[in-house]
Amino acid sequence: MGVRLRISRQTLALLEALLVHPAQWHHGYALSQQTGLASGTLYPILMRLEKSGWLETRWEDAPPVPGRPPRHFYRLSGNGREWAREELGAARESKFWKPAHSKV
Amino acid sequence: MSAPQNSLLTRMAVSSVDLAVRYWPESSRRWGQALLAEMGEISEPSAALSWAAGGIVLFFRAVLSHLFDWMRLPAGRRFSVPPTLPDGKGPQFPKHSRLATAVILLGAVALLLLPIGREARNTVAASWRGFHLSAGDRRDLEKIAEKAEKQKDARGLAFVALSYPDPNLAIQFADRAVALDPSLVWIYASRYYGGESEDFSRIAERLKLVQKSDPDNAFVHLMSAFAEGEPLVRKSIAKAAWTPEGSGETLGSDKEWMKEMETAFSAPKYDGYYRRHEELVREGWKRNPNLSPGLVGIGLWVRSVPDALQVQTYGDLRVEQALRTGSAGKVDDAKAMLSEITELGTRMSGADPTPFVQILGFGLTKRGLEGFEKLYRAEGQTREATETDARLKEVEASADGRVHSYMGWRSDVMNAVRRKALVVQLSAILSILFAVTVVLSLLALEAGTAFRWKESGMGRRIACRVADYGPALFLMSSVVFLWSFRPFAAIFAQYRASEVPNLEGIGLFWELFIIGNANPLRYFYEPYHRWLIVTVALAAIAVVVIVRGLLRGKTIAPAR
Repeated sequence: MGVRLRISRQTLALLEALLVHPAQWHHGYALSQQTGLASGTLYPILMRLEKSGWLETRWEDAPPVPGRPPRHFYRLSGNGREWAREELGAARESKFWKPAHSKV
Repeated sequence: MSAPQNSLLTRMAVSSVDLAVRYWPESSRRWGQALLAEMGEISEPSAALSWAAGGIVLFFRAVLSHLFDWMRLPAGRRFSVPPTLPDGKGPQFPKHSRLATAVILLGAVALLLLPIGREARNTVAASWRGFHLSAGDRRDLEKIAEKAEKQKDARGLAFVALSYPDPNLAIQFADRAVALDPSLVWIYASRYYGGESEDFSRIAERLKLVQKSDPDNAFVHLMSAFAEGEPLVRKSIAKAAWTPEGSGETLGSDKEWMKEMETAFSAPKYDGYYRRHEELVREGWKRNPNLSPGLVGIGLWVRSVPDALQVQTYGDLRVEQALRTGSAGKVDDAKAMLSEITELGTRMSGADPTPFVQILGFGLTKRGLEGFEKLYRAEGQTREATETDARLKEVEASADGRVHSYMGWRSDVMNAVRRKALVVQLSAILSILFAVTVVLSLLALEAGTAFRWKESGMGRRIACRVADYGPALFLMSSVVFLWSFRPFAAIFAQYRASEVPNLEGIGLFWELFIIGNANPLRYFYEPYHRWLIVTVALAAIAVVVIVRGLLRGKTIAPAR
C-alpha cells in the first residue's frame, strides 16, 4: 500500500503508543510524551504513516477554549492496526525491539 | 490556549513556530499548524523550546522538500500552473527539469573553477584586456608586496616592482627592495620606463646608483641616455616639431645624452639583465603559483630594452663623425669610432636573448660596417671595402633570419600554435555566450508568470529551447575550452618547474602573445569596428522589423 516504510525503533515506539487505545484519537504532544520522541522526530513519522495510508487524521471540531487553534488528532486506520501489530511482532521476534507496554 | 504562556521563553517558542507556519510551504503547512496547536498544552518553558526547536527543524525539512519538488519541475513552471496540454494549448515549458539544468550548469562551472580552469580564464581574460593588469592582478601584487615587506623579503618586493604598472608605487617597491638588498640595484635599470607619467629625473637618479655598481655595462648607460633623451623627444612630439630625421639634432644637442651614449658605446660589456630579470619573475611565480599567467607575462615582457630610435640616432651621428674624422686624415681614429659601433652591435646581438635587442644589435653592426665601407672606398682600399661588403651581407642575412624568426609568421609550428590559440579563444567566447543566453532564458521563463509573459510564441519557444540545450552546450564549450588550453597550461607548468635560469622563457611571451593575437574580440577594441558592428546590428534589427511588418500585413489583408 503506497510507500514502503523503513521501520525504525522510533516508528515502532509510535505504533505501540497508537495501539494502546487504537480506536481513540491521540494528539501530538501526548504521543510525544508517551514515546519520548521530540517533535522533530515524531511529526515526520506521522506524515509518512499518513502518506502510506496507515494513519487517519482529523482536526478538532471546536476548541474548548475560544481563540485557541484546533488540534490535530491521529489514530491508526483498520489496515494500519493490522500492519502495526505484524511489524511489532516481527520486531519483537527478531529482538530488534523491546515493547514498553505489555498490552500490545 | 489552556496552558499559561506568560513565560518569555514560552512566548518566544510560540512566536518562532508561528512565524515558521506563515512561511511554511502550502503542501505541508497543516503539519506546521498541528505542531503549533500543541504548544498551547505545554506549560514548561524548556519543553516548549524543545517542541519549537523540533518545529523549526520540520519547517526547514518542509522547505527543502518543497524546493526539491520545485527543482523537479521545468524552468518557469509553478506548482499551480498546469503542464502543457496534449493539444499543445497552454503555456510552453522546457523539457528538462530545473534540477537537470542546474546539475549541468554547476558541472560546467565546477570545471571552470578547477586550477586549470582558473588559469585558462585568467589568461584569456588578460588577452582580452590586451594584457593590461586587472584590478584583481594589482591587488594580488599589493598583497605580495605587503607580505614581502613584513618578512623583509627584498626579492618579493623586487618582483612586485618589476610587474606593478603604476610607476610611483613601483619605484617605491624598488626602493624598499634595494634598501633591504643593495645587490638588487639592477632592477632600477631593468624596470620598464615607458609610461606617460614617468618622472625621468627620478629615474636618472636611480640609474646613477646602477652605474656605480656596474660601471662597465653599456646597457645601464644606454638606459641613462634614454632617461635623458626621452623627455626631449616627448617635448618635441608635443610641439609637433619632431621628425625621425631631426632626432639627431634634437638629441645631439644635449650634452648629457651625448656623454651617456659615448660611455655606452665605449663600454666593454653589454648585459641587459635579462637573466636576472627572468629569474626573479619566475621565482615570484613559483612562490605565488596562483598568479595570473598574464600578470607573469607582463612581468617578463615589460622590461627595459635600449630605445631603438636613440641608439640608431647616436649610431648615425657617430658614423658621420667617424667619416668626417677620416676625411680629415685621422683614419685610425675614424676606424676606432666605427669599431665601437660594430662591437656594441655585436655584443647586443650576441649577449641578449631578446629578439628585439638582437635585431637592434644587428642594425647597429650594419651601420658601423656601412661606415667602414664608405671609409675604405674614400681611402681607395678596395679589397677592404669588398671584404666589409661581404661581412655586411652576412650581417643582413643574420638580421633577416632573426626578423623572420621574431615575427614567426612563416613558421608552421607558429601557425599550429595559433590554431590552438584560436580554439581556446573561440571556445571561451562560446562558453560565455551560452552561459549568458541560458541565464537570460531561465530568468525570462521564471519571471514569465510574474510579468504575464506570453505563454507561447517565438520568444517563449526560443527560451525553452535555450533552457533545454544551452546548459549542455555551455558544458561542452567549457570542456573544449579547458581541453584546448592544456598545451598552454603545460608550458606554464614547465616554466614554473624550471630550476635553472630559463632563457627559453621567451617562449612564454609567444604563447601569451599568440593567445592575444588569436583573440577575435580584438576587433572591438577599435572604435571604427565597434561602430561598424553596432550599425550592422541596428540595420539587421530594422530589416527584421520591416519584413515582419510586411508579412503580417499580407496575412491580415484577406480578412479585411
